[in-house]
Amino acid sequence: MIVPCILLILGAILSLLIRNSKICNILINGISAISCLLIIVVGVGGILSRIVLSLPLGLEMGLDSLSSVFCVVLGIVGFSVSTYSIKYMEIYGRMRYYGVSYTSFILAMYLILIVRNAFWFIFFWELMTLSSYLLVVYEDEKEEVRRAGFKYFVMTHIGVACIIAAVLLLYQQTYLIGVPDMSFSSLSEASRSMPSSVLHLCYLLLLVGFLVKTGAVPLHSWLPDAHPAAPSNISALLSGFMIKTAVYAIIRMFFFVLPMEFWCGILLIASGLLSMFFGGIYALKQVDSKRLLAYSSVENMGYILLGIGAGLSLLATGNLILGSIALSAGILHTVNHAMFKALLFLSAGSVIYRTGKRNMDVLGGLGKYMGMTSSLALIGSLSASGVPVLNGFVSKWLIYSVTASSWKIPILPVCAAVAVMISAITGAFLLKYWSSIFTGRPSEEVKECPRLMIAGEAILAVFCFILGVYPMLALLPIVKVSEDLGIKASIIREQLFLGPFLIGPVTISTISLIAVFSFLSLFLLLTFVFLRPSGIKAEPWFCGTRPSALRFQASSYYRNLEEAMRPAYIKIPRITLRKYEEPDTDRFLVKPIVKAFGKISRAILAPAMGYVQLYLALMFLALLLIVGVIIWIS
Amino acid sequence: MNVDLAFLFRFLSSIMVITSVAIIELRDLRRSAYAYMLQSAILSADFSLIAMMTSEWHMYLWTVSSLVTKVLLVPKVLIWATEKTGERIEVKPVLPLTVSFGFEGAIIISLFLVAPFVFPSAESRFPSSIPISLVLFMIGIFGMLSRKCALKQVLCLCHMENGVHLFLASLAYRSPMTVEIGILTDAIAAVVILLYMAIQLKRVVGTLDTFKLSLLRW
Amino acid sequence: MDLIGGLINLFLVMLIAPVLDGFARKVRARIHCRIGPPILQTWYDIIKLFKKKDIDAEVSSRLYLISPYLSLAFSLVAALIIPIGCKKPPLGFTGDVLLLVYLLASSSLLVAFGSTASGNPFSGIGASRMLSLTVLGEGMLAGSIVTFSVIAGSLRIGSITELLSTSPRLAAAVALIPLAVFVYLESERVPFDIHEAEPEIVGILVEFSGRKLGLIKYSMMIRSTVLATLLIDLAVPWWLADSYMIPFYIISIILWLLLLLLLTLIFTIVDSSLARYRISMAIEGLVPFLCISFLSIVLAFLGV
Repeated sequence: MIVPCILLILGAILSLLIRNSKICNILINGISAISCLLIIVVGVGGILSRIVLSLPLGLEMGLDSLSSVFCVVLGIVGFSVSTYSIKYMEIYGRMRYYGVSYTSFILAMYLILIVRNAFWFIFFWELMTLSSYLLVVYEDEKEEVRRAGFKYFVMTHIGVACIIAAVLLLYQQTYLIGVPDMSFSSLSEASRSMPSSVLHLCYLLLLVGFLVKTGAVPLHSWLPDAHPAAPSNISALLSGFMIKTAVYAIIRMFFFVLPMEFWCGILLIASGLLSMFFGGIYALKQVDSKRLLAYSSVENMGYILLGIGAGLSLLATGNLILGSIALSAGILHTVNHAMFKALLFLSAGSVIYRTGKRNMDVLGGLGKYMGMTSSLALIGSLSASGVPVLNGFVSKWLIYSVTASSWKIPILPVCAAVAVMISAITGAFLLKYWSSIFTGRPSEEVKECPRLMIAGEAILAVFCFILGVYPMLALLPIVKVSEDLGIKASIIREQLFLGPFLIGPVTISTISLIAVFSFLSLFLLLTFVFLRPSGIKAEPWFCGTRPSALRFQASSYYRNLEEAMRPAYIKIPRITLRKYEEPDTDRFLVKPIVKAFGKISRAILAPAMGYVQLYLALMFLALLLIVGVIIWIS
Repeated sequence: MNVDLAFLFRFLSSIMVITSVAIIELRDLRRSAYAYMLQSAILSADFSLIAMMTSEWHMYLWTVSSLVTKVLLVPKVLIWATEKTGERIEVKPVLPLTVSFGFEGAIIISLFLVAPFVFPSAESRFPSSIPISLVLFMIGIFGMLSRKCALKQVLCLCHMENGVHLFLASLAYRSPMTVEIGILTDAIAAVVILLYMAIQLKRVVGTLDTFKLSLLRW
Repeated sequence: MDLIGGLINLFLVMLIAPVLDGFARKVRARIHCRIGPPILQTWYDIIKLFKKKDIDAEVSSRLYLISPYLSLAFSLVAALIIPIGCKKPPLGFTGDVLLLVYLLASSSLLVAFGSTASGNPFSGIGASRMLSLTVLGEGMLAGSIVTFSVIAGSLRIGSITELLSTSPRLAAAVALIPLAVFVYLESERVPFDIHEAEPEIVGILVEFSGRKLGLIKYSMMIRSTVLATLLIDLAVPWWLADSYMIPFYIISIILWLLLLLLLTLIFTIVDSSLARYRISMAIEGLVPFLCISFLSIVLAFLGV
């Protein structure tokens, strides 16, 4: 279990020592890839049997089914991204910087999943935030990158502050019950004996802290800026795994550590609904390929939060079966989203690698030259749209089924309806993404990407297929998570896997999926038999005009729809410098807080700004004050 | 034996006070570094005295390690940094010399007066080590606040750490080795990182004047 | 027995779908005071298309060649699982409405992707318009389906029809309106055939020819038949027999055919009386139905 950590630390140190940037690149990414394979092994081991390990300094580590599932996902995504990065990072320099940040990023994410102690959890959370910040501002010569990184940094740290506050409140309670340490088990005991108002405050703080990291509306505004700013392999890791660690944290805290509360679930559902809606409709407008994918991440996190929130509310009100299925649906969508979103970001990265452009209005027709990349991007897009046989469909369907069936909580079926509608919007903007970049008349002549990059993407695509056809591969471990919560897995398995249902309203029967797949495979076979006698080749028909005069721009794709949905976009009334109007989502929540904070700070430190000594003096005075107070008390 | 040790402690303490003022006041960074070297040597001697008095063998270890790090490594690295940045004489400080002396004197006197009341226990075993450590700490902070040169600030930080270590040694001489290792690594890491930043500062901005740090803003 | 039921379903749908289209053409012709083509004309057209040689555009992606087959595959699977003639869905499948809708939606989505893969910008225009309509359509559909699931407590077609045949509810009736509009929308009839755009040459079908075009058209017809069957199942649930017993089964299949013809008749009359919408008008026109579908959810919760 420790071996990946050691490997990664070794990689970080080695990257500092090696001067040759090419070797350094291969070394770092190679070591990361190997450690990710080890992480997969650890995860699989954890699924098969529990492991607990105790190190000194309170660093207690353990793998239960929740951690193992996430570990396997981290391993798969990390391995694919590292393989991809071996070739991708050639267009960037500064390998030592990259080496330390990248390895510590993966290390931190891995350790967050394993530790059982709140102190170390926050420590590694901070490490993850810092290293991801360093990676986001990789190209810090560009001003927009720096700004995006800064916004990301500040927002996540406010989140971390909330989390620390909540943990400290809980920790203080552990003193009162006599087990003063920060491990999850003692925090759990402490929370049961806490006064309810303080406990609710803790819940709220934790929610805010984790929702910022998840990229849930209204705390999502860092996501669409940070993902395009980062190099594409980092965006893939950010979207593919980092926002999922927040989901892991939410499940860990709200289901396992703290007693389950109904209204927390409702808050999660509400933010999930908002994220789905806003993520989807803003994604329709985007012209920057990575920004579109970033909004798509926001939308998919909405689905995940919907599933998990539904699970929480249902479990809290006693619907054990539905609740655990909802939770499993949320976790399954987490797994699936990691796969296809990482794939999509890597494909966007391939395009940048060869053309250097992100603007979909300018790109076009690259599928002619980049056939493999185009097919892989297609698999990612179809998977995200929820086409059966690919993995997105299974988890989305499961979420819809559960929420539509839980009519005891009135908001949930409405959420299901909205979710289905948003799913159509997903298909729409992913069509825009894929066809603007890969179809049409070629904008420039490029070569196909190196094989290693395709290999990285291909691994993820294979998993998309596998999880689409045989979702039980992921669902069986996920169901074990509910088992850990105390619900008998056998009931759930009955509901999910074996034919007609008894009382609960949700099933996926294996027969149906196999039937679907066998039909499709039969037809694909027939396709390839019939494809041979192909017809005459001809130019596409342009209604008689010159082909060079026609290009269907990405920005014109959904003009009418955007017009019809104008009230839904919270718009600023002026046209920004960008080519498209960018809705200002920060207006209601983030900007007023920032303004107030700025005013307060300026008022306090107005006379002398920027002198280190003054800050030191103030800190020292504060220290004296605290010491004096302590002495006076004792 | 005890009387001799007490006298030895007091003697060493007075030298430490003089060296601490010297570290802060000397404009030549090299000479400040040498003063720091002297102070650290005395500190190590203090540690060995404590070790002899309490017969805790890990204090001997601490003596040796502090000799290596504080007396040998840190001044060497500091002097290397002065050569790298090319600034041997520091920029003029905020306060004139006499006012500075006045402040330092006030600090020393007040701490010597106050300390025995706050920490009576250690006074009996290691006379005047607590007030000395507090003096070192406070003068270190004073140095940081009143000096503009970045390298001087690093030196003042090390000075403060000397004070903290002495404080710790005289109160917690039974603590296990992990504390020492933690402190040592912290000291070295802090110094190395700070010096690296100071050198970069000189390279990017062109001056070590911390009042001009706002030039770093993007 | 279930398996045979499924295969019979499939066979029936495959046979009947073009016949319905032919019937629609005949009715439209009669409304236009023409004699019109024979009812089996659509079958002849499809066979003719299969015989023709394909013209392949110089493609950006292989998907252009494969998508007609994939789309047909999805439609056929949908046809396999919808209950026709019997309340028990075939293959022992727990006939979930959502899965059905998803299969059909994927079928049309694949056509859209495949058409853009041909590299023609006009296909892109058609595809984007089609998806804009699908967004609103799925919204309406989602509202209706959720209403039915709230009423019946599950998403299975079987249980929904059972419940509705015993105790019809107002919410269900209200939910049927957006569902009917959705079925109309998906059957590419006049106000909404923007993406196919027969009088204009451009639309998603512009680059498909020969066998590919035949497959896509056939798939579209199967889709509209399946959706029409769904509408009939939910609107008039009494005609479904309880089991596969021969006499009842045959009677219910005949009823199904008659109801399909009736529905096609109604749709064709509506279609002949309307002109084609511009895309913006179409979108605005669908929004009221979207509201109605959400209203039906509220009604379902109120217990009406």
